[in-house]
Amino acid sequence: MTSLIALLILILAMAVGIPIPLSFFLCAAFICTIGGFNPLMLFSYGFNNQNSILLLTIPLFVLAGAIIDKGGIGEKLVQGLMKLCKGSKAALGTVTIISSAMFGAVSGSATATLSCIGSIMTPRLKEQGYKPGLIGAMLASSGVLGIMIPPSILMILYAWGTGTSVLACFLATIIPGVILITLFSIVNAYFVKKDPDMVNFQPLKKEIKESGERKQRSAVPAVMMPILLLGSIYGGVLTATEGAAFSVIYSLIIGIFYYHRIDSISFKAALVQAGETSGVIMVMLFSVGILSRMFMTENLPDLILNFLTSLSSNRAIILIMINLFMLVIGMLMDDCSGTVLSAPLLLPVVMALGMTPIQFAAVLSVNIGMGNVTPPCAPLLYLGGRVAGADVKEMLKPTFSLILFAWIPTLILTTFVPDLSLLLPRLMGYV
Amino acid sequence: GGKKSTSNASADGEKSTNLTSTDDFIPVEWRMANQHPNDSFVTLADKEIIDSIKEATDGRVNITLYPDNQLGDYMSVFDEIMFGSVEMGHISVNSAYDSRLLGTFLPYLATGYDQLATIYSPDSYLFKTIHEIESKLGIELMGFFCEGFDGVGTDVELTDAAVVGAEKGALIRVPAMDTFAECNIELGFRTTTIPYSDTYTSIQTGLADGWAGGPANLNYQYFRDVLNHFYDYQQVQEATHILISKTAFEKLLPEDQESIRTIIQDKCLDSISLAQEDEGKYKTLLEESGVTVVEFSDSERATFADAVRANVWPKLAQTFTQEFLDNVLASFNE
Amino acid sequence: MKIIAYIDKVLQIIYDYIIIISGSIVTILIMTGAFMRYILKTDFYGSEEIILIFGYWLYFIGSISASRSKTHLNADMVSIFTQNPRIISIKEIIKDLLSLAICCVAIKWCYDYWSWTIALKPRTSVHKIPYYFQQFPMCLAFFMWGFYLIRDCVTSFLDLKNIDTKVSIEIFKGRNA
Ligand code: NA
Ligand code: NA
Repeated sequence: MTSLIALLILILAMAVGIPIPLSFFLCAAFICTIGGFNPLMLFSYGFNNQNSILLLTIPLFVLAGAIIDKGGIGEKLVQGLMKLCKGSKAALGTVTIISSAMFGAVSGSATATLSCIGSIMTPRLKEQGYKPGLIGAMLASSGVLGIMIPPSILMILYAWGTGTSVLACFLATIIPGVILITLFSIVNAYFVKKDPDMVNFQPLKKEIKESGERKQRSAVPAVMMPILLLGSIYGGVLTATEGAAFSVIYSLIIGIFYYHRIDSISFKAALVQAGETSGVIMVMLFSVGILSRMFMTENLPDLILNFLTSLSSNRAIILIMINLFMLVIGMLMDDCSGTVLSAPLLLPVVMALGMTPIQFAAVLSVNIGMGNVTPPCAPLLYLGGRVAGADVKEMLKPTFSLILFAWIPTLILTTFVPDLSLLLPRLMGYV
Repeated sequence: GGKKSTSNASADGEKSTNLTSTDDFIPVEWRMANQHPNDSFVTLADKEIIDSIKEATDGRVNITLYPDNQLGDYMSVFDEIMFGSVEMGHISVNSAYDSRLLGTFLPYLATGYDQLATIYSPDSYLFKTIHEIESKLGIELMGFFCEGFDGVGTDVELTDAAVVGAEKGALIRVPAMDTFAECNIELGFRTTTIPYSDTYTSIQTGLADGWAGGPANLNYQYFRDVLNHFYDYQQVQEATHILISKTAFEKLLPEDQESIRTIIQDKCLDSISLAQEDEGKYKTLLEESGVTVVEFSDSERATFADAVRANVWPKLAQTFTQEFLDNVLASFNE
Repeated sequence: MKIIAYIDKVLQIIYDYIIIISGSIVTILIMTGAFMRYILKTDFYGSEEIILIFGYWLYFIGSISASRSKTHLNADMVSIFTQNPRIISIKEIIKDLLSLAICCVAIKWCYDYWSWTIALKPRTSVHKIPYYFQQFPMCLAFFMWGFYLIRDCVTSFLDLKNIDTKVSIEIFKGRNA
């Protein structure tokens, strides 16, 4: 009962627009007061819970994302792909989607992926006659590829919250990510084909003009980055956290000395911006961690499992309901909070149904990723709109098509075909 | 607030308990947190403790167990026992408030199971000292629970495994505590203090070759897929603390306090044979899953112990104070 | 008013520098640890304790900077359903007042925790660094957040007043036409 009222308070507080960390705190404080606990426990738990090197990976990946964005690496990745772009109308959209995935291999966050690839691709897409609404929706969904292709902040949080191997979780989301890439491309092709207004279409004949010297610079150091990063993590040279620090330093070095894009001013700006973003995420984690702890005291995982099994004894139906539950969480809150809150709550439940923690990592990624482009709380969708210069209204139709024809099929596949998420971890010997 | 519970609680508590009789005592609901998996012998023992307590107190003390770090890691659970928001815990100790609390983790404190009953007995210097420190923090120490001797799990074969100080040819992960780090360096390991959460994948990717600081059961349950060898160095007896929040404890009837203390201390005494049995079971399981278990002879272990006590303990004096170390050694030479 | 704007600007510069310094130190120390292990074959013993102190400064000063620029995430649904400036403005006031109230509770409890823990002088395991170096930015963050929420409340009230005058001007104009 306490948990239900607490959830209601949480939703109301968020609906009024109270900052999400304060809403979480309010909810936790409510359970704490009702339960008669000493409120000192909230801060003691929050402080100790966050005292982990693994979590430092998050600000480092955010920082690396900001530097990669300013350092010209994203642009080089895109240019490499554009050369392969043949003259069909849909090709540039596909390039956007695949660039996001490639960018995802150096960046751990969806927002960084979206803002970097979005700012590079939007003018080109518009030049070819893509509608802002489609661009925004496509960017938002593709941004999630930033967390489906390793490294991934979400998987770090998942591993942190559930004690699962980070590297195995990284591998689990790759195949679902590839399915998403394919389905996004198909939906994109359909929209482009159906759009009668794409009269301005002209195959890209010339590479977008660039000032002389910079154009000479090869894309190799940029393309080397994901190889070096993932290679050193999986090759036993660096831990995931050290990998994040390595990305910062690598992108800084080639941004300064090779692409000549970063100076002390833009470096400071990137650091401050990343510091602020990390602050937002970490304070949220602080309070969502406390809330999650309070839900544990209330035995919420047991309550959820009992409730679900009382509704049906069919495993498939229970799994679908768990997905719906996560979807609601994803609709209400951002990806990081959604992960930290639902991972420890739902993992015991799905494990009781015979799902492994590694598969659940992939299911959760797809689900929370989808929640991120699903209104009302859809930070990625709004960011996509801002980058593409589109209204939320214009983006709704392509967004819902993407959800219906790309996200939901992928989610169902990931939930019911364990091999999709377990194949790669098994091949690499992580399961 | 929390301050009150640490200082004045005992006086208040005794007054109130004396006035209450068995009949009008309102039953209490407690939360107990541990850090052990659901199917471990430790969690099983905790469940038995809880049942015995309920029976012995005629249902006046009901305890719900939250296993497997559900309420947070030992650092925060320790704090919460201090505040009383968690009434009972079975955890590793948080040494932030006093380094001597790590006394049960002194390397080669014991060299075999037969010594443990003396070393960890409620009459020992070690127990009394730690009891006093925790008491000042608002916590009642009920007993030390043995979980098995820590060894070193590796995926490579060590060179000169039994020779103290000889290069072992392995980089192993150790907890960032002097007790563990110095002991393994003394034996001849190269150590790294990467986070525990990175340990499994690090052994897998080859970043590290193994890890120290866990008994056979942890090596089997969490690491068997990445290990090829388990070296039974028996460096440290994994002795966790069973703790009760003082405020909560002192609200109980004196006879219930007494029966709880007896139940837990009996269980802690049992834990020595339970741990030995569990260790044997998991060594067999390790062998069965393809991990070679390397045992050392009594005389080899005595060599390790002598070297570590002679060369590592002096370095630990900074942390533990010389007085503490001397008294611990004296008490078990008796 | 000028002096407040000046203090505000100086504070932001301080935040920026703390973020830049702590962010750089965290990156460098983590890479140093990797370098020492992989190249020098030694252990950067106890580095975690130092890194996390700077980490906490980075997290929490970053969050203060975010409350100054109002970039903390929210899931505002009211403004999706209505465009009415009056309703939105009143909702803003309610939101800011509630946020401030919640934050005050957080400040109170955080302060209690701080005074509880500082009396016990907990220290880290290897370097024996007092934990208050790490706990201080956490407490400061909630305190400064409260400070910026007071600012937000004041601006929300001023906004509502402006809307009221604007609406009345529009009504007045309407009558004239
Ligand atoms: Na990624
Ligand atoms: Na959402």
